[in-house]
Amino acid sequence: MVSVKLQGITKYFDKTRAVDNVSLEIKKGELFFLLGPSGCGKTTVLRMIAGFYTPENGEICFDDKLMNEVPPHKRNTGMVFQNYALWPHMTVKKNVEYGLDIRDVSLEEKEARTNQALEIVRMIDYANRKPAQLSGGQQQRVALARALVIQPDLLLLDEPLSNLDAKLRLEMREEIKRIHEETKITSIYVTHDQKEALSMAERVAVMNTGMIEQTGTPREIYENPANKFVAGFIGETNFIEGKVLETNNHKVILEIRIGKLCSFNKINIQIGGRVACSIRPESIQVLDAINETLPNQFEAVIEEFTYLGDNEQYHLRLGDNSLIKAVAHNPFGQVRQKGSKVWIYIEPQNVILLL
Amino acid sequence: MKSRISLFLIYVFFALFLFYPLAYVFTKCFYFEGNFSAVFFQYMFTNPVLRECIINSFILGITVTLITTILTLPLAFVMGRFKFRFRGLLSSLMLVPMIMPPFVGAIGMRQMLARFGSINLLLMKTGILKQPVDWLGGGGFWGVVLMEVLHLYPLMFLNMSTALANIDPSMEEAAKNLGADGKHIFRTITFPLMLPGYFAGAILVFIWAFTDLGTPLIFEYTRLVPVQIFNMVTDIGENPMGYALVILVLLLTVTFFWISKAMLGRESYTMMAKGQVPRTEKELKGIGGILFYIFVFAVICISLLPHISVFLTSISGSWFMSILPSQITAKYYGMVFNHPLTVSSIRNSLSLSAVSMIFDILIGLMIAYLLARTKIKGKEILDAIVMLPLAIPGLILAFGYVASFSGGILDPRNNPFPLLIIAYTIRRIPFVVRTAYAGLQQTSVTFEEASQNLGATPFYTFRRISMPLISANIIAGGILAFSFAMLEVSDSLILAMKEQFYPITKAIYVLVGRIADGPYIASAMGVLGMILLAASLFLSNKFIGKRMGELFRI
Repeated sequence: MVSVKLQGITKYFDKTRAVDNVSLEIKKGELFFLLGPSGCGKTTVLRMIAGFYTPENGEICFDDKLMNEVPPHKRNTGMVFQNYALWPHMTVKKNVEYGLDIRDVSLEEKEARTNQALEIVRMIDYANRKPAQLSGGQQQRVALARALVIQPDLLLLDEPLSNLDAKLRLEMREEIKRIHEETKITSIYVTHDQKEALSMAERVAVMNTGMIEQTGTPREIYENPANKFVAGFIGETNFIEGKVLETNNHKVILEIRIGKLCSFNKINIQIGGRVACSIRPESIQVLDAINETLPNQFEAVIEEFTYLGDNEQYHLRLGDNSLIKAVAHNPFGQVRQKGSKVWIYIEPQNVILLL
Repeated sequence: MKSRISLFLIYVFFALFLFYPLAYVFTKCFYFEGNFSAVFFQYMFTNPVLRECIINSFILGITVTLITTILTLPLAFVMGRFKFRFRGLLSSLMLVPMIMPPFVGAIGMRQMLARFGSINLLLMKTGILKQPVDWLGGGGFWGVVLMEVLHLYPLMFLNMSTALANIDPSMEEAAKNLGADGKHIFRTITFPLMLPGYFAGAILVFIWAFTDLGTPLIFEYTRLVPVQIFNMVTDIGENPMGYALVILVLLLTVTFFWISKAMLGRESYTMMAKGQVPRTEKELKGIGGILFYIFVFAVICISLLPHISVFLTSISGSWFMSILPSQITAKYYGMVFNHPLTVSSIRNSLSLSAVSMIFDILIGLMIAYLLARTKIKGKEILDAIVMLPLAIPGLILAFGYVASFSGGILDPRNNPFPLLIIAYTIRRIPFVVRTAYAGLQQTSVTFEEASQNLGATPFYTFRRISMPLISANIIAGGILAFSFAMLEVSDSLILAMKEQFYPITKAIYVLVGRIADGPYIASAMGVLGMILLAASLFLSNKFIGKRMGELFRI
């Protein structure tokens, strides 16, 4: 097991900069996620760690060893490919054994480790099948076993669940999490699915246009996004522009188009500066009448709403004619009409200020 | 790093055995007593005999190309666009003529088309003819044309069919959608789109017809460029005109090669099915259908005539002034395996072809890997060089070898085996490169990456992952290389000068010239060769399926 350090990695394809000055530190035994929209460079980063690409600039270190010039077959990483890349001319067992053939382990050990790996992924009963005879989820498990059997220093997963249907994807999330907890191998997981990242990751790096936008725990990036891109990419949000009126130790008061908005989140900005606020739909409460004791209340008209059983989603039109999304959880028994007037309340700690 | 070394070795190989001999011929042609001089080149056009040969060869090439075009266009179009019974069978029967070098067929056809041969006798008996017709009129010119057409139309057919199949059906559907009828679509959409593919095929047919040596030799039609070159090999030291003729042919083929390469553009490697909508095919019915069946049937029957005639010759105990042999015997097959000349030639051909096949696979795989999997610079150049042997006639290469390697350790007068192996190898390398490249293209790179990721070196990965995955392609390419080497005509005729070194084709040629039973034994050998080539084409077709046509494109 190793820790991984990337220092100022840059990679060009022809003239386009696919990865731009990326620095990351991944701790021993961590389940680390690279999250971003397609084309953001996350797979390129992963492939540089595996050694399939060489960065033009920067350093890749496993523990303290510089890896830039080490060819892929000497890095001892186990990779799960997006299309699994199971060799069609070999059985499941042969596929899994392959890495051990190269490593010159004894016959007994090879047998034992292959079986163990297949057991971990619950595929021991399919050992003699060819990959073509397996379903997508089963192939996925074999690909995982093949990567695990060599006891890699580092497990690399490239969108491993993107070819599975929704139900299997949920199952495999649990499965991979369980396997990680059992093996405690340092793992880097690439995905564009924010739910996968939020539910599985210990830490996440959010990437966009070849750069890292933010690194942190799932809670940190969701609750304290560093910028508009992260706020907008992770979950749903409303953006409201405002100007700083006053600021003190505890709070910031903003002037927005429909009045004054109070936030308990601090940001390093002068009075008079312009900021964007990110307000999650679920932190907007929809009230039938104004509550005089609370700040941050605004009048709105229901433009559209969707009842979903456990929650109700609103599109509300505000005084300045802009639209805002809100979600009411557990809307049991409350009946509202399209076009009716309501009040919204935004808790000051849920108003996130972004530069 | 390693890929650079292998690239270097490949370039050295081609430089030594493809470019050096040709360059040598070039200097011999243009340097006279140490100075640059085009005098030989000019003499070629002023000397009446040589000029006649050049004109004849051009007329031959153009005639053959035109006739194959007229014959093939309707065949390819109907086969590619309509559904009908026995389509698969008919289109494979269409390839049968390829299984025999035309000069072997010529041995049988000489018998059939003679003044009192089967054809004339049959037509006279049925009362269609009163007087025998001189089918081989013009000193055998039409006999050569006939053999070339019958041998080369499948090549044209393959090229046209591929060109047609490569047209995205939505192109035609779009025209239909806008209200164009079938004829209009063919004229304005289909035909223009298939033109580049057609030209590539036409150029190949022209070059092959222009440079075929065996057929005119059998028909004793000597006023052709290849025959002149062949005759000039014997006095290669004294007569510079051989060099000039070779340069003429070389300039011609290389120019045509570049033209068709430019026309086909980058499309030449797209062996994979594109993401296309499936084509809807119309049923072939009514009178048109019946006429088409008759047409196809006639073409196939006529194109099988040489094979039938060779077979009949090989079993005829006596065949004189009768439609079919009056006596049947198997003794010539027995003689094939007893006659010292035939036995040694079979042994020679088998070992030469086997060795050249192994070289082809080794070098071909290396090149295919470099082209498909590495980022070396100058891939276009490598690709063009590797495909060049498809256009360079064996005649030219062999002449260059005799000219440039005489007197050295590779002198074919002492032992032609090394040069024969090299000639066979170079000439058939495109087949292996193409099939292997296609296999690599269709195999996801991630299979190889997964292997490297688990710790396998690139070589180990190639051995255990890439090779098994493309084994079908390698086998197909290898079989083709082997069987075409077995039946290689012009380089065998030129390079093998002593009887003990004769390969099969040279033995056949020499046997035909012997009076008594020579032609019969030659025919028996021809039949055996036919069976070999048929079996190998069938096998490789099994391995690579519909993509056969791509192999014969520049």
